Amino acid sequence: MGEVELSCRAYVKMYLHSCLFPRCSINGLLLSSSSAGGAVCVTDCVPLLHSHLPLAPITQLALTQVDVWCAQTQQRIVGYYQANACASDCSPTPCALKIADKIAEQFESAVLLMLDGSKMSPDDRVPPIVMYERRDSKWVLKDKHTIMLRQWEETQAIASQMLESGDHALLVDFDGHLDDITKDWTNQTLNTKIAELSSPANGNI
Amino acid sequence: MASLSEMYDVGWEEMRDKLRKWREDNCRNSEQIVDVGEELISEHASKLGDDIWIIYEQVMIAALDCSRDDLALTCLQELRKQFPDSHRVKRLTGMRLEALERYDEANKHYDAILQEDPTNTAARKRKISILRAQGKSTEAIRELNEYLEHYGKAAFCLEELMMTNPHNHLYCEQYAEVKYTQGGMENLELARKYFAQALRLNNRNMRALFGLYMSASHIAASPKVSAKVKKDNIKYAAWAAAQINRAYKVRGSRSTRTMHSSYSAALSATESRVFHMTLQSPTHQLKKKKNGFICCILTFIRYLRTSSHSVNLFICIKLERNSLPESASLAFICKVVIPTLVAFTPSGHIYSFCIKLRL
Repeated sequence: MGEVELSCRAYVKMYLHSCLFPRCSINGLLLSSSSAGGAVCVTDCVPLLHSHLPLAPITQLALTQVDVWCAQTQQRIVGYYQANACASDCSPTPCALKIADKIAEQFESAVLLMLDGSKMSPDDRVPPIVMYERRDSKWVLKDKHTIMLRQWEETQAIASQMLESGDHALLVDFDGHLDDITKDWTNQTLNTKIAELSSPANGNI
Repeated sequence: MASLSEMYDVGWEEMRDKLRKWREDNCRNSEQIVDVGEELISEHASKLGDDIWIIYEQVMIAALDCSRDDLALTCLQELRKQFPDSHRVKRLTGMRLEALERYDEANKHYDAILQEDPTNTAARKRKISILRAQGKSTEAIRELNEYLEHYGKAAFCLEELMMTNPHNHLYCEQYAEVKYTQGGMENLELARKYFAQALRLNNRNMRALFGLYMSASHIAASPKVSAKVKKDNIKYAAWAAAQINRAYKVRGSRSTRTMHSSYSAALSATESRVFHMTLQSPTHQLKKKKNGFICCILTFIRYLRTSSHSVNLFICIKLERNSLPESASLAFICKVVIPTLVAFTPSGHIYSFCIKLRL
């Protein structure tokens, strides 16, 4: 299938989400603000849960709310990411497949992204990502050459830097929003910080 | 590097009390515990008296969590010196082996404890944790069930938890979520009741509030229920929606509030066949809310296009005290709402329109 590009902002937020809850399984949605057709460009992500991932009510609620927010901000949900609590196991769980199926119903080229917990140290050269795409109603591994991360070293550096300085504590996922509804799950403050850290030459959103 | 006590101007007593509070609340804020505990142990050990042993244990476990094996070993050695034959200390030794991923040695350790004391629950739990860490979930579940049966407890843990902790709204809410996920009319009704119970125990639990709304809406939307059940559930859903709106209004920050006005309506739209859109709008914000409202109408229409059944559309406009005069809101409805709906909906999809103005 087509190419998928992962932006700096999306990767950093996913990374920080998994670092904020190192002992839990976490998941979230991948969003794109560019129009359909051609390569899928993941420009942002919304961290969703860090507890009871397979339970339906909150997931349904979150999907609805994110959907409406996307409609307001000209984005669309193009994928789903998850990191398992057991760092050495990065295979998609049944609940991950279900949610990804739902997303694929609305968007054909949807992607399922699993974060590989064992490869997330700053010394690892390769992005700790395993991506799946939908072919013949099944989720199959995507060819690594169709996944692009522009300026990977810079993105990785930004992620490590933010982790060191404790910025991951600023991230708010949907679970956190339900615990305290004054917190903003669109993470505007974090987005601004990430934008500041990326070099001006980097045209990524 | 400045010590914590210098940076934050806290005495050793405060640090000790903080550690006690975290112990009592069972917090897993390991980085903080390591920071505070390490300093307490190295600088103020003599002042702590007998408290020091439990602090050693607390700091050791936190150190394992943060991969600070040096600190963990120090604490463990002190504990071993003081309590050479203790099973509790043996369990800590096992935990350290687990942290170092030396699972076989850890298992041997726990087996030795269980041989001397077959009722030692802590060792049993650690063995199950090892299975989980190794990804052997089926075996872990089997062991867990054996462990539960061994103590004559029910296999359904949450029901047991709720019985022994009737005031804990979190268990209640979690049980409700499980029932909701299981699906089916009986489970949905149970889910709604337990969400309501969780709310009774803690009326600020947003998850329970949303859960109540969603389960009541689903029940109301089902074709199999009687008219009375439908009516009751619509009432519950409406109540929950009002509470949610109020919570966001009162407590939500600006960003979440503007988002919420539109998605509370969208929530109704995607959930049930009886659609209940609530528009609450102070006068001067009508323009802003208009966009939000249009957006949720569009979401609703998108839903209609993909659904195969016709719907009853209920628009309930609730006016605040000092808000728009009726004529203005009526004009809004006539000029904006109805034309949008009529223009974009596939014909034959809305078969009844009921607009209620509630003052």
